[in-house]
Amino acid sequence: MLKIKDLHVKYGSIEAVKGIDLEVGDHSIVCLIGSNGAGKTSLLKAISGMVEHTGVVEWNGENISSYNSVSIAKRGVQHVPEGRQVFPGLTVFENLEVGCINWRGYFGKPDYEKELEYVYTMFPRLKERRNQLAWSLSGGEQQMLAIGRALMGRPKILLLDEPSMGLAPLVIDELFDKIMEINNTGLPVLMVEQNARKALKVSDYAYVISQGKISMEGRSQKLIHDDQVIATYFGKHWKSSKQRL
Amino acid sequence: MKKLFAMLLVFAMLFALTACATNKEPGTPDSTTASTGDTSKDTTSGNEDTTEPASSDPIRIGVVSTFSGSNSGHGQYCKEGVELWLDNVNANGGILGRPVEIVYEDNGETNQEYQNAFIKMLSEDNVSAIYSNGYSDQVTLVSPDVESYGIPFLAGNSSQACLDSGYDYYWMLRLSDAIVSPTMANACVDLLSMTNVALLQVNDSYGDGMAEYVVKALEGKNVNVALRLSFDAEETQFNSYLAQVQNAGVDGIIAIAHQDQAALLMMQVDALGFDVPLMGCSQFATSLAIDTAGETADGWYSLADWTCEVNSESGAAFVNAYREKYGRDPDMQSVCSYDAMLLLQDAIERAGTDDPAAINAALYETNNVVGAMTTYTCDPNSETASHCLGQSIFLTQTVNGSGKLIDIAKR
Amino acid sequence: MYLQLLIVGIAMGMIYALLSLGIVLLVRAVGVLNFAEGQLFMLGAYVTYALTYQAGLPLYATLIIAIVIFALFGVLFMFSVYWPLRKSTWGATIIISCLGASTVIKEVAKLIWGSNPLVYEPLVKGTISIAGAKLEYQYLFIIAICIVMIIGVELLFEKLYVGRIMQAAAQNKYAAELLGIATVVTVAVTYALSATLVGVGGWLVAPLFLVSTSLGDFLLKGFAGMVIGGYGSIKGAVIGSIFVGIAESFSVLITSTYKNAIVFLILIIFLIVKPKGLFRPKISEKA
Repeated sequence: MLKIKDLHVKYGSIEAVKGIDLEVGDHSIVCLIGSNGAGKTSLLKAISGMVEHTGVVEWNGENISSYNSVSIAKRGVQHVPEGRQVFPGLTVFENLEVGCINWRGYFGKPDYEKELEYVYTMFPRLKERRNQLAWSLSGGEQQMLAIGRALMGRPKILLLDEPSMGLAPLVIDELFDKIMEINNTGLPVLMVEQNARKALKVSDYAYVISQGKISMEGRSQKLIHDDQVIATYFGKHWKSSKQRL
Repeated sequence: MKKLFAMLLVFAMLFALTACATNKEPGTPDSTTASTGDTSKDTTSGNEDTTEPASSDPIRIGVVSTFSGSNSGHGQYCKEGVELWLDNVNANGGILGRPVEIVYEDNGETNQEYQNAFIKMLSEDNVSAIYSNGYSDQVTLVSPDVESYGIPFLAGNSSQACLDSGYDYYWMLRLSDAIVSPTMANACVDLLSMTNVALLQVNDSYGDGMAEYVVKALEGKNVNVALRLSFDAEETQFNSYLAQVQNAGVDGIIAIAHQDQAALLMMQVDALGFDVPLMGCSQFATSLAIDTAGETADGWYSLADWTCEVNSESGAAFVNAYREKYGRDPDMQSVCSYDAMLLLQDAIERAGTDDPAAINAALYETNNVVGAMTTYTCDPNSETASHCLGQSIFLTQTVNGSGKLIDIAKR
Repeated sequence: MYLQLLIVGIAMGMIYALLSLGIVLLVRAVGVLNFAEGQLFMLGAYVTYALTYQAGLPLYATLIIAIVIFALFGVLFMFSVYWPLRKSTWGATIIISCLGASTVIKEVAKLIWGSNPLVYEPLVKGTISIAGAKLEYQYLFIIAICIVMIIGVELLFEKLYVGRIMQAAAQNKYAAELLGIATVVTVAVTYALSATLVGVGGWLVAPLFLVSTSLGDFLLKGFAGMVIGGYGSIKGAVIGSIFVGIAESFSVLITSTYKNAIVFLILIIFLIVKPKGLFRPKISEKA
């Protein structure tokens, strides 16, 4: 269970996150939608220990607010950054291998066969390309690699930062199916997304963030029919919910 | 706060960069402040026993040498020679009844620093005469200023080009390269039976100048210069050159380089095991070169301005006095500065004044001044070398780490 | 003669390769050109000199202690020269810091050991004749030890898990930290490794060229080797440097005076004709 209370993130004099309360229950997929610059990435970075923040981040009953990223990753919080951020000069296999660092240590004793099998089964294309250098993969493949890499780290929660960015619609659909599949095995997911419609379709609960604050929250089923949400975040060519869905 | 610290760190680095580039103290116990700037104060060595008596106005002589950087060994020897003379002179009432004061300037490591130090000496330090053991390149840089300030400048370099410039106030103590080279060629042919030689030289004006004269002299004696190779003054890897020499099958090697490279050359020549006679310029016979090269220096011949086995009375006396005062053997730099002081003493006494122009005129009449290194005479009628005062040079061979005297070559 | 020029050229190239590697590792790990690398090389000679001649230690003790000192100094260097400035937005900050450190290290060495070059006995004195080539034994040691070190580095990065962790941290610091890699550790290890590589290099050349502060000048040839081989490529740095060593050795046949000029002429030609060098680094600009 991930609980966030009154989170503030400041960059110098600019406050990107202005007091957010958020919860991710076990087994659920929670999405956080909002436009660019609303503070979504900053929020994730605060949770994973990459930026300083005030407020409380509680993970499985433990207050991890002041921990650094290494300690937080060890506790099973895996943050998949926006823009994929794979290790370009390493192969697919090596990327995945590096993902084990938080439980494997620098001298790699315990075996990662089980985790690797799981990732290859989930993403067969990665298995196909396992000896290819990561920079040569397509956008969608790199996104799968980034998620696979996070899965190698024995995560207890997955934080996804804009997984659909820069991907073609069909690829996004495939990707989101995978995310649901992963969640079905019991792994909670907190997903930050700009593609509000698809995110709402896939998730259980949603928060809408605007200018650093939560402007709306609720079950995704409900928000997806909400006119204001549609108008603001679904894009101009979407008519009212009753017509398209 | 972190930013401030970072900025301070960067500035500290920058200061270190500039500070370390300027003149510094030599790391020796009896060193003085090398550069003063306050010309009204007593600037002799830090020893308290050479302060002037309050009554007389001291005679001021300037010395520009290297007191910092990788050549500070030079400067140290130079200073020791000067101080040896100074103690003696001041203990005997000074010159013309007046005490002598030495002003030192550190010429650092680059030509630019040399020029700065020298000009400071000329313009601010109020001296009647100057001695410096700078390289020929550096001497050439400052000679025009010497002329315009009109202060006699005795130099420890040996490039004929400096004599050819015809400066009135410039004086050379050692034999110039143009005079030494025929002597070297003679020794190579007559004594060492070279007929087909390899010539290795450093490519600064000293090396180029000397090499030109040597080649000319050798060709005059029908010796074939099979290989002539030149290298940078910073070069340390001579293997490629020596491989070529090996390949050329010569019966003699002649090398011209400054003393650090001389040491390296001796080491690397020895490593490759050449079976031919080896002749080096005077730098090969300096204590610094021989100490660094160790055993590998043995066997090299040289036209040396100086050897501790000098057999003249004045030379031997100097060696003894030096050993007693400093506990080590004098280097060519020590005896050169010592003799320079002797020459100035002679000229000032004959001139009867410490006026620079008068001293310079008196230098023209230098006749058979007996120094430790050699005797000095000015021959005003000489076309190419009227300002070259030294009269002889030693042919030596390094044996067991010191130069064994083989012959004295008179001019 | 040609064999001799070749072998010595290869030996010198190996030394330049160590320097190249030292620089490239840091370029890949922290994205900076360490201009003080030449001084770390010089320190290698001075430190081993001090241990051997001033402390009177036998060879194995000298080497073990020296390597520890190099590694520690590398880490110290990192924390003083790089770490405080790592978040600076002005790209030249760290370069200036390295330049400053370079001067400081050089001058401190002069203060401690004096300005005169010091003599260091080779591991085995004497020369060996191989098919008409006369070589000091030291050159053979140089080739052997350098090969071992270069292979060691290659093994570290290709075979060991920790090597891949370090590569990951060098390629994407942000993603690495998210996964739980302590990049301060990987960077420190890289600095330690870099300092050790060039420190050993300094120890290897000291008997041939004397222990002096001018040893830092070797950096330039190492840099040339890295550029010719492909900026940022480990394999390229090594091969480029060996090429530089051989070219330098043979260039004397063309002109003795302008030996260095020939090397840098080759460098310039490479920059014009093949600016990416002989080997493109594994990572392309795209990612």
